[in-house]
Amino acid sequence: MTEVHDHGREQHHPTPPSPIERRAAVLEELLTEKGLVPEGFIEEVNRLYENDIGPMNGAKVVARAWADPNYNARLLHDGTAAVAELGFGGPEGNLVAVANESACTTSWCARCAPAIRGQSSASRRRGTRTRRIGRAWCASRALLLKEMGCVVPDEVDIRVWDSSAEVRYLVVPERPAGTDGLPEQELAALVTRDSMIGVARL
Amino acid sequence: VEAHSEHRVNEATYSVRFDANELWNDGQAGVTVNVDLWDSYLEPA
Repeated sequence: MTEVHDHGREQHHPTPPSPIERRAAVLEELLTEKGLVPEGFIEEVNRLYENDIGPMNGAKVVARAWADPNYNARLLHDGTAAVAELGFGGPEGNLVAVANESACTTSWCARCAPAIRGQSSASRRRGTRTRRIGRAWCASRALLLKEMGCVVPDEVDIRVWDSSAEVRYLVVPERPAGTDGLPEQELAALVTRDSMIGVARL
Repeated sequence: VEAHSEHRVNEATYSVRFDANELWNDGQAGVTVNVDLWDSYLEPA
């Protein structure tokens, strides 16, 4: 079962696995042992998230919002309906889009919609780390800057969106300067996962 | 809410906004925290 234990961590993990990682590994092992999930099922779901569902879906949503002010308005008004227009949805059911507007707000999401912003072993590991950073972010902007390398000027308000129920959040990052007239496809290529979580500016 | 009983209960959730310094002594001004909370987590103010 070595592949189970390697799941979600690099081989030379510098710290021991967290309790949640151990719990996930044990659950995965049990589900497989008891034949409750077909062989390769979990790998297939991971592959889907990493390759097909990935952050490109969110990037398409953001690019459309940048290119089309009406779509942007719909997205901010009803995120779930707006992403459904592009064929995206998720088991969580509700998506709220929050905008990082013209240097007056920085929004950061503790948990975003995996169907939109993708999932990698890194992001699954990140749960505990983002919690800690969220706490640090609220407490000390200096710590945030140090940990994330994301420069937020003093006059920028920070909004933390902590999702603990059925709602997932997507940050619409501020459109980078000098991108006027770019086609949506090229705009989408500029959008990073971290910018949709709100921990990076473009 | 299905995880803790056999009955399915539909419950509203609310996004509740706090100032960071309401939550933590060393919270900074200008930082707000929105938390999604189930209806049953909330008490009348």
